[in-house]
Amino acid sequence: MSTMSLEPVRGRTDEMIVNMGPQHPATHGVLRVVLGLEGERITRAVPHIGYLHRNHEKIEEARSYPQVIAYTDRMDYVSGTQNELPFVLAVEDMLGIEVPDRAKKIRTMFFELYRLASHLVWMGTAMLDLGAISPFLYTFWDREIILGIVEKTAGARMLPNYYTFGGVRRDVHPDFFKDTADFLDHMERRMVDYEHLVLESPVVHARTIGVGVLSKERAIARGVSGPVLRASGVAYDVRKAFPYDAYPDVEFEIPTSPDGDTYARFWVRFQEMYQSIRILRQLVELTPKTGPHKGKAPARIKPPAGERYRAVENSRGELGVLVVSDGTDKPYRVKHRGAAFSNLQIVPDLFVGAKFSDSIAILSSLDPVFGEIDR
Amino acid sequence: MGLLGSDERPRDIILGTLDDLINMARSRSMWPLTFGIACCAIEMMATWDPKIDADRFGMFFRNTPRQADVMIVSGTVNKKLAKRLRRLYDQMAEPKWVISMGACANQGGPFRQGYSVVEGVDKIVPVDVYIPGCPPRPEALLQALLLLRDKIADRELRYQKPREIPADYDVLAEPGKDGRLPVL
Amino acid sequence: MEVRMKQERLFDEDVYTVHPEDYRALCERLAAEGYDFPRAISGLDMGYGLRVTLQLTRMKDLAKVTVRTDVPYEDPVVPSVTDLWPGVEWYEREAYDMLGIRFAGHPDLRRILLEDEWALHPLLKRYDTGGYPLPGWEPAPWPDPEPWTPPPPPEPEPEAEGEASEGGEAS
Repeated sequence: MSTMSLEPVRGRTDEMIVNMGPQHPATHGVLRVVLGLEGERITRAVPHIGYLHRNHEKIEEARSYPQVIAYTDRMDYVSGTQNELPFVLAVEDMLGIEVPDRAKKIRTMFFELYRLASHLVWMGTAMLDLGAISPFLYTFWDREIILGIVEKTAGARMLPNYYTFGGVRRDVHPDFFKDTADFLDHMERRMVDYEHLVLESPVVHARTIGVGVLSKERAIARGVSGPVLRASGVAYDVRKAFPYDAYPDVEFEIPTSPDGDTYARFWVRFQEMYQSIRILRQLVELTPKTGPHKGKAPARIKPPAGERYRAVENSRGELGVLVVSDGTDKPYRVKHRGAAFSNLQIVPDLFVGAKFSDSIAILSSLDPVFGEIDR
Repeated sequence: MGLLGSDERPRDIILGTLDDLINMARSRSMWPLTFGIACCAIEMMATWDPKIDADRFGMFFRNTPRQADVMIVSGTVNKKLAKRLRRLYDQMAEPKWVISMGACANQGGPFRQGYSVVEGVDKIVPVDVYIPGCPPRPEALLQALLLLRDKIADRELRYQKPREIPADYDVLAEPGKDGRLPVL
Repeated sequence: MEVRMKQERLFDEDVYTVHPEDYRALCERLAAEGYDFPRAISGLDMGYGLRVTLQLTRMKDLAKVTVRTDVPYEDPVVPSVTDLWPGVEWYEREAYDMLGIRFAGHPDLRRILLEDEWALHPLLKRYDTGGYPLPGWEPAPWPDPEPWTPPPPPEPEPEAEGEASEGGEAS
């Protein structure tokens, strides 16, 4: 993993340098990987990122605190409101804003709805990478239902800018709880189909079992989090480790797998979807139908000088933010800790030694999203 | 009298210009390039999902620029990517069209005036249809595709010099530096 | 070995502000104490110098720790900790890319997000959002006393610590 130039190694005529990306249908965006190939085996892999770098951290220093929330949305664009939460929590901590219980539960419901939406996008695109088209058609249909529920309340589909300091921006739509309950019924039936289509598919077994094995120690040392870490047997989940919002009130488990291969990462994401459904079922019952959706927050958000790091468990892992304030109404520095950014670092570890076709399966099991990686 | 003046011409003959025929074929089989960049790419995928289903208009994604007719610029184009984007555009065969999807591709969107963002993809490639929105809904992309279809159908077929649109390489330079030719 | 540092408790984290020469020694000690999960390395422009913030978690008991060190603009060199936690490799490259902090001993210190041939370090406060130098920007004087003034080892004097934290937050 040290400096690897693109030049072929002197005297090696059997090595071929292949450039994959940034326009490659299986890179989930604009990743570029330069691969050294010996026949079908990958001998070197150098990922190049930054093709979606859009100065998030610089431009957020020039925006006021409420404006920054809209920017955080655009980081991990597949999972919408999940990105807003660490920033909102950090600023709430600095200001000491109390969040009403109902607002916490609504936030958590949106959080888990977007986790389902994100995992559905992952499932569709990962199966497209493996050559199956039909799961994409089913998963995007279900994702549209989730986005419809979100749109009714928040007014936007993908990037709703819904959370705010002290709660959520507006109360939920009267149909929200019923829609969600109906969707969960639908989703539980659909999960059976997905298991057939993905987890029980012999093609998936052949392409993923034993491919791209990541050991537990390597995963921790590399800073990997989320489903990739849990698939390597580490039960680290920010929702349990450092609970936030309504997660202390609900019951759920952290699915882990000891295998660490690509199939384990697929399997863990599936189990997470079951847990999301379980959390949402409880929250539909638990959340009061009426009540405050927003706590008291000052009109001008001016946190005292200091800094605060908060993290949440988004669909990809530990999404953290370090907010440094100098006492003005604009943050002095906002540093995002992208889960996918850390997860993508293991690409050279996993690619080297694998077959070229396996690299596609491995990459799709990492589920990178480049808005968050390049920021 | 010739055939044209007669009312008794066979009913299985349709008269028209060659332009119409070829434009009809072209506008009914627009194949976009699989090139998702950012948030809008997810909505672009949603345009091909069973709910909107752009497949029914004969639009299928092609993974190589050599086979693609339409480039949908679906997201923020930064200076690093813009050189590759122009290269992909140059690799596409004539005739070719570009849809600028979303506020970022139109003029930089919320990231306008940043040090790494190209303020509008039209400085790099010529754009036929602009879609507002951040991100635009799938219906908006579908409307843009249909607008582009109408535009193609009106095109004159006789030989035109290929459009020479040089990219504005100054916008790709590092802030405070002179524009240089990109390293392709 | 004596590590010149200041320890405080901020929310749920232990925060160590350490002299850059002792940064590596403290990191080795933390690695030996079992802090195995690197969360992030953040670079900050403090107005008087550059700050590196390393955040670690111990998976065993979920203890969190933050290590800070300040270096001057003229010579922003910090020892790399990539060999202790390989997961900070890209974060150190990012801090180098964005702020120009050089990590001595990093195996592959290149730009990561911007292009290799650029010279701009955009997150420095002397540049505006567009990457152009701000007119009239001057670095602030180094806070006095320096944040890494070694406190007396057994009993840190409260007033010295207060002054030091004031300096640390100056911007």
